[in-house]
Amino acid sequence: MNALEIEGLKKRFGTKEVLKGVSFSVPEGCIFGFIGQNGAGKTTTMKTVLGLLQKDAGEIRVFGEPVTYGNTKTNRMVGYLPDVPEFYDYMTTKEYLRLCADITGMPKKEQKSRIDEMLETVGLAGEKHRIGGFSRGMKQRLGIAQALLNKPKLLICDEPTSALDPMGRKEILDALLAAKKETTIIFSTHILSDVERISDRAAILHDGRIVREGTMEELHRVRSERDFFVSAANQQSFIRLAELFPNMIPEEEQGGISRLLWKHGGAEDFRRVLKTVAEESIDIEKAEWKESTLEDQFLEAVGKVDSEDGREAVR
Amino acid sequence: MSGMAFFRKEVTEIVRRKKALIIAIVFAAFALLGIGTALLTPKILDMVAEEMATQGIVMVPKDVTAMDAWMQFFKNIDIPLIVMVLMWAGCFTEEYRRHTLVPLVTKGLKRTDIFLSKVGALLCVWTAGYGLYFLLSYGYTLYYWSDRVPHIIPAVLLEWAFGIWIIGLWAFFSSIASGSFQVLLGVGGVYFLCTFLTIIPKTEKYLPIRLSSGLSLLEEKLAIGDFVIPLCVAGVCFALCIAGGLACIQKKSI
Repeated sequence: MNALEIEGLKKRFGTKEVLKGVSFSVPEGCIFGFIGQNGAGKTTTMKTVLGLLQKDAGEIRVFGEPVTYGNTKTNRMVGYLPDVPEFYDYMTTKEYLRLCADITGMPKKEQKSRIDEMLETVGLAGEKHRIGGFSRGMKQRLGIAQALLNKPKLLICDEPTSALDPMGRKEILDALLAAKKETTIIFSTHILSDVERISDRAAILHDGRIVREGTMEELHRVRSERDFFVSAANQQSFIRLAELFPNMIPEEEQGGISRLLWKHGGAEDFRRVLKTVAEESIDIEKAEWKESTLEDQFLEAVGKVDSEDGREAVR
Repeated sequence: MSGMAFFRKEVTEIVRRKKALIIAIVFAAFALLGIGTALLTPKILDMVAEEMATQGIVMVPKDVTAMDAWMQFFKNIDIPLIVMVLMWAGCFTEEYRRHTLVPLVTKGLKRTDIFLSKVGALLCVWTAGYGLYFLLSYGYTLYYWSDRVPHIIPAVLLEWAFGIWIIGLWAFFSSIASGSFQVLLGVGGVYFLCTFLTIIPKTEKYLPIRLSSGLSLLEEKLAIGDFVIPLCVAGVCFALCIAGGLACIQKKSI
């Protein structure tokens, strides 16, 4: 079953159309990375899922139930961690979580053990100071504790790591991985390494539309159908290669050695080139895939492909 | 259930942010100021009279009565009420700005519960502060002056109702405003509009602002019956403000 289904979601603020028909689904039990530039519409999408914003068009369902604007009933299944979680600074962690527990209707006798358990999970057990003195990372961890308090079936995190130092990021990502046992997780981010590290699936939001979506394997497979280079050992070989493969683009490599680029090639193309090189006894330095990262996928999707990063030699 | 939890949060906030203490001090201070002013008036007048006598002007000394103390009561109450509105002007808007309501709403807290809890908390604050103001004034007046003033209780209750009307305006403007200044502008705007309309004799008797004229009741310039219409108008206005506020907060971006 899908934890979340969004179909044709549209949202406009004044004259600006932020979401232009967003559609994707999140299967139950996975960690879903929701990638997009700042201002791409990630927060708008999430707030619409939470019923905090009114959609202009489209359908949103959480575990099959439609989301409505205002006091949506689907929120009983959802936990939410805002991008900048803000709490009442005059309260302690336990007081705040007790407030949350009361609001969710958690029985009093269950509250203490669950609150202690959540504070232990996020590393805030024994923290007796008021929230006003907390660092950003501590607030983020308290945010996760409140989001998971009532054991939601779906946890929505908006940029949970964007303003944290590497240590803080690791703690949050570890907490999300731990939470995966109990809940489906959607987290929006522009930090692609975070998505690569913990996600099972991902979608890239750009210009109000989903431009890539799939499992991490599927996204990697898309990446393998990319560019590859063949570096000639000498000028003669370079000319011969250029004659045999006129579709390949000559490029200047570092150190002045010339190479040829095959854009948007597949494994079959790569094998054909290597076979021809062997049959024609052409001297080459190396042939290599341009093994792009998720960042390349993202940049290509938003029209800014960086063609220099991440190569895997296959010599 | 969730409404009670949020109301408890409001009470905690009022206590821990020292709002309760400040309100208690302000209301008590103005109650004592009223009594002090009434007590000191003869001495001040004596001093002025001596000064005037040297210039050949004779001032007739006036005995201070309980009526003078109650006059101060009704004259001074505006300032604590203004202080309270100023302190609570950002009560809603600060939560919108900091998005502190978002995690709670996504946990199932109803927006109506937020609105009613905040309004309820301020009604309690006003009632408690005004009650303290009244009890201090009443106690000291009883201690220093033995004469009785008619219609004290109705006049005091009308002033309390005036505060409720102001709270209704505060609640409505808080549900639509984005900043505390807009709330103050809204409440102040309606208040000054009503004050302006009092110059039109035909409208004056309908305006809720008449509820703050308790002094006229004590001086018997107005009868209790003269307050029935403004009391009803204030009641309807309060109900409309609450209904409007409940409707607006449902659509409010939090």
